Amino acid sequence: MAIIIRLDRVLADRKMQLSELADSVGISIVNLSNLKTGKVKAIRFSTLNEICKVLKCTPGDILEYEYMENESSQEED
Amino acid sequence: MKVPSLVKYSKLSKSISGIINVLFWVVLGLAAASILAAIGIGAFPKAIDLITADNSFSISPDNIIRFEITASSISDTDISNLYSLLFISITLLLIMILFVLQQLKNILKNVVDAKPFAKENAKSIMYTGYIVIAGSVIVPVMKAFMVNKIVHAFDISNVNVVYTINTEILILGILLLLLSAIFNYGAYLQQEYDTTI
Repeated sequence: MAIIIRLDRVLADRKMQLSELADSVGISIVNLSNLKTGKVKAIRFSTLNEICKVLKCTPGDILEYEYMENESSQEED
Repeated sequence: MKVPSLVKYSKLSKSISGIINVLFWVVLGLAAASILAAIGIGAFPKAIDLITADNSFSISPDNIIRFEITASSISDTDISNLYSLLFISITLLLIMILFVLQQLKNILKNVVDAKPFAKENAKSIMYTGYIVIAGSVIVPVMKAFMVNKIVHAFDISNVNVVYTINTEILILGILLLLLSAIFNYGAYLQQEYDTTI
């Protein structure tokens, strides 16, 4: 997948622990860890809203798109 | 839309799971007893007196028609073979029931654990469907075979044995296969939901 999660970068900038963010957002640390490591398939707008509210950032700070060569060739097929 | 809760169904599932567990062991015991009876009658035909108190022999392979034969008619007939065959048929039927009960146990265990759309449940329903379909063919065959044996053993005239598939059970089996496909899709949706935060 070409979507890259930069949650660890934003957490480091805010000097916040993952557990602290999980408690503030109201989701389990396991789920947040899965998000950080890119293991989740989707994120709800409500969850993204809460994360951005706590971290005082925009979705673009957490989510990044990187163009991948093999993805474009799959689309052509 | 409010998230539906599985809590009340979990309690019901626990109760039914307990009943199925007991039923499983009862059927297992009956199957074991049936095998032993088949072997015992086959090995020691004279050891057990199969004639009833009123000097007649009685057998009902299909639970609809009961054959009552007087002792005088069966003096030269080896009825122990018929009983042996009956117990083998009962054992086969009980083994199929045991398999279905085991699948039910697996399904209910997942429901109790609040995982109704586990992939294993779809497989269990599929296996149950196949067994039910097989049963709709095998059970009538067994019954027809038994009745045929009885008719020939006692030279009962003007009786023809007709074999038909149990179509209601066959349709039930096919519906279970369809349900399995639905649960498979449900398992996919569950996985999508579980990996969404």
